[in-house]
This record gives sequence, C-alpha cells and structure tokens, in this order.
Amino acid sequence: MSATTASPALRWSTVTLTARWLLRQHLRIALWAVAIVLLAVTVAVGLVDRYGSVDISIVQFARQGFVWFPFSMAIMMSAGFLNVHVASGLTRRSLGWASIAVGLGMAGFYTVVMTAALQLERAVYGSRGWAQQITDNAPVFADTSQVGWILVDVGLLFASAQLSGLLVGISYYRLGGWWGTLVLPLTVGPVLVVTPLLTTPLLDPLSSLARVPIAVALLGLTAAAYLVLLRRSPVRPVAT
Amino acid sequence: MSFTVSTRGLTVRYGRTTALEGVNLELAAGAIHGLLGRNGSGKTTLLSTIAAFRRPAAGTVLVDGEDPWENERVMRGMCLIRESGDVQVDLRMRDHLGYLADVRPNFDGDLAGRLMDTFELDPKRRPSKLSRGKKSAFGAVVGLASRAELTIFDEVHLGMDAPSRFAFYDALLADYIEHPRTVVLSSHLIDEIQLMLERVVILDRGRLLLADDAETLRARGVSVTGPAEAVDRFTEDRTVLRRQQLGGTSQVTVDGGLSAADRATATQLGLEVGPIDLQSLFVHLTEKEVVR
Repeated sequence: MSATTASPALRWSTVTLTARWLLRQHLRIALWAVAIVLLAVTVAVGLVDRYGSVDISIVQFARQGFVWFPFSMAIMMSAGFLNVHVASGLTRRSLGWASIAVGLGMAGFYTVVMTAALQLERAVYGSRGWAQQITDNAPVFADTSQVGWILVDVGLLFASAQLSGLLVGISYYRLGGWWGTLVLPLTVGPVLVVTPLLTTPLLDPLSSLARVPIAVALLGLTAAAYLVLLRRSPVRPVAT
Repeated sequence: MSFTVSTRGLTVRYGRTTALEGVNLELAAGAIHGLLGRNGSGKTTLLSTIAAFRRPAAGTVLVDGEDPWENERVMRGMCLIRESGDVQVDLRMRDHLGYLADVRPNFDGDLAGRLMDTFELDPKRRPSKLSRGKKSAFGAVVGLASRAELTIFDEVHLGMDAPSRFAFYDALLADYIEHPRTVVLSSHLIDEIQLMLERVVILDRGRLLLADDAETLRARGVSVTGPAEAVDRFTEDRTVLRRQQLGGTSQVTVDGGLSAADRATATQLGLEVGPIDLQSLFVHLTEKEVVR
C-alpha cells in the first residue's frame, strides 16, 4: 500500500514553537499576578498612610510573590507538560530548552516589573516626603536609587525561582514523591542561597560584583540538572 | 510517508518486573496492525517504547530505520494515544486542538472539527470535565486528526459506547483509505476490530507469541457446527480451541486446516464448516490449558 502523508515544511523550530506556547501560558498568569500585586501595594500604601506613617517600601514585599508564584508555575510546567509535549511528537530536549528560555524570559519580565515598581514607588514616596526604607536583612542594594544592583539582585533571584521550579517539578515527576521530597534541599536550594551568596561573609573578601559569576554558575548547574533529568525521563502513565 | 517499526531483543523492565523480554518484531509500513494480548501482557509497554515514551532496558527499537528516542524527525511522525490521551486537561478542547495545529505537521483542523461533531464534543469544554467515554473520544479525535506517519491507539475506546466506537472505526478506515499510514490498534474488543486488521501481533506474558497476516491467522483453524455427537466424533483426534453447546447442537473451533477429505467427511456427518474468528484463536493461544 502506498504511503501519502507528507510533512509540510515547518516555519518554526520545535524549541520556538514550544517556547511560544509556554510563554503564552506564563504571560496570561503573569499579567494577573502583576495586576494583583499592584492593587495590593496600592491598597496597602493607602491603609498605612491612613492609619500610620509610611516609612518603608511596600513594593519590596512583592519580591516574595514574584519568587514563589512563578516557582509554582515552573513546577507545573515541567511536571505537568511533559506528557502532553512528548505525546504531541516533540522531544524532551526541545521542552528543556524552551522551558529554560521562557523561564529566564519571565524572570526578566518580573525583574523589570519589580524594578519599575520600586522606581515608581520611589517617585511617589519622594513627592509625598515618605521614607522608602528597605528592610531586607542583608540587601545587596541599600536604597532604591541603585537600579543596577536591584536588577542584579532580583534578576538572579527570579531566575533561580524559575530554574529551581523546573528542577523541583521534574524531580518529583522522574523520582516520585519520596525522592522528590528528599532532594528538595538541593532542588530548592538555589532560590534560598543565590542572593545571600552576594553578601555572605563566607565569601569575603570577594566583592559583590565578583560573586555574581558564582551565582550565575549556580543557576547554570540548576539548569543542567534539570536538563539531565528531563532528557532521560520516561513519560509516566496517564492518570484516568 | 508511513513508518516501519522494527524491534530486536527488546526488553523492558520496571524495577525487578520484566514487562517485555526479547521481543523481535517487524511492523510493515502502510498497514493496520492489531496488537492483542491479555492484561499485563506488555502491550502498553511495547507501544510506549516504540513511541519513545520510555527506553528499553536492552535491545533496540527502530522506527523508520532510526532510534526514536529524542529523534526529532521520527518523534514528529509518531502519535501514541493512550487511553484517555495525553492532553491539556484544563485547557478548552479547541485550544488544545489549536496547540496541535501548531506542533503537528500533518494536523487536519477540518477533520478534527468534523470528528468533534461526530462524537458530540463541545470544543469549549475542558477534557477534565468530560466523562471517561468522551475523554476517550477526544483522544480518538487527536489521534486521527494528527495524521502521524505512525499512529498508535492504545485501548482508545475505553469507556466509549458502541455507537461512538463504531463511529471511530468508520472514521479511522475512511481517513486511512484517503491517507494511508501505519496504524497500530491495541484492543481487547477483537470481534469489533478484526475486520479492519491487516496484520496481527499477539503478546503473551511479555513475549511475542506470533505476528502474522490476519488472513493467514483466520485460515489457521475452522469452526465446526452440528449435532453434538457428530461434532464430538469428527473432532476426536483434533485440537479443539473453543467449544460451545446449545441443546443438542455444538460449535467447536478446531486448530489447523481441513483437507478436502476431512471436509467431505464433515458434510457426510451433517456438519457445517466455517472460518475461525480471531477472538477464538487469541483466547486459545493465550490460555494456559487447551480445552479438550
């Protein structure tokens, strides 16, 4: 019997196709997240101003939201999308590179949003004569005028949240509940140590700037571990 | 084009359990293959390994001449639909079909739309909200509309009612005639699918029991119907695969063909001789003991 199904030329590489799809999912949720954060910050500032005195940055607390919310999204992407992706005729490799690219892109998006929000808050606080104090324990930036350091600090943190989320997701998927939980200190570790790396006395006398490549290397290791686990992962049975 | 499949010494293990052992198999391109086997015989494992869902512990799998594992060209030409499918359950079905239109090179959106109508699936609904049968029907839509060079349905009919199953068989045959490709159907409903099958593969306890043309298998035995006493006398020295009796009439399925002399004897005894059905052969081959 003759065969007739012919594959037409594809306009996009599989990595690009996957990245576009993942990005669409991420952005839809991210816009909600940003809207919620902006609303929450506005309400919080209003309430503090009404019932007390505004002397600390409220936007700085959005940092946790922009870490753990995308972190959970990344877990869902790596643990929940692999079956669909491979069943759609695409390689694990393309999912790996696409999810890393989208994760880093989203980290960049959240970094810009966070930095812009801090600058907006700085302008508003300045016009009202309020103090915009940063209450972080060991901040790499002392005040919000250090835009470069804000970008480095939250950029590294948000990127680690994305990559770590991917690693946690694939660890649970590949290794199961017990091992996935046991290796959590390793898989969540990058989120917890990446920014303290910039200020910890353990790395003295290295300057903060000299520590940035170490933090980037840690993120590289996280991404590599994710790719290794993903590329050897069998597709799990369908839950029906 | 259609893909061929070839396995050599294929062995798959889950921990200490061996699901497949030393399977040597050839699936020709451009044919509908039936994969039959009892529960736990290794059907899903074999199909998952062919479709690069998992790696073998030993042996090789070649699809269109190449190892399918992480092989971009080969993977894009394969579509394995497992039970209720691997779809985005929290996405509207129309959005998932949109996704497939992006990533599946031969995806036919018009066919998908027609099949959605046939199976009475509302594109605005999410798969997570569907009944088991409707989920299976959506899996069938995805598998057919993807028009992959190697299309594999693993028990895709589970939960589907009879009209939906027959609508699926009709749609599969119609699209296969128009767009020939390699199709593998795994099913327990042998009676329903046997007329579609060109080749049959039977697995038993993780090993390949046989792989042959469906016609050759059907010619492998005969059914003999008539008065119970005459049937018993005629089949005295033959291997009986299956025996059914209603009142004084017996119908038995006999392994092996009959010579012209045998047929003449059967006629003299007032017996009716007919072709064997695949289900009887399957039951016989995978049973532990032969009925005597």
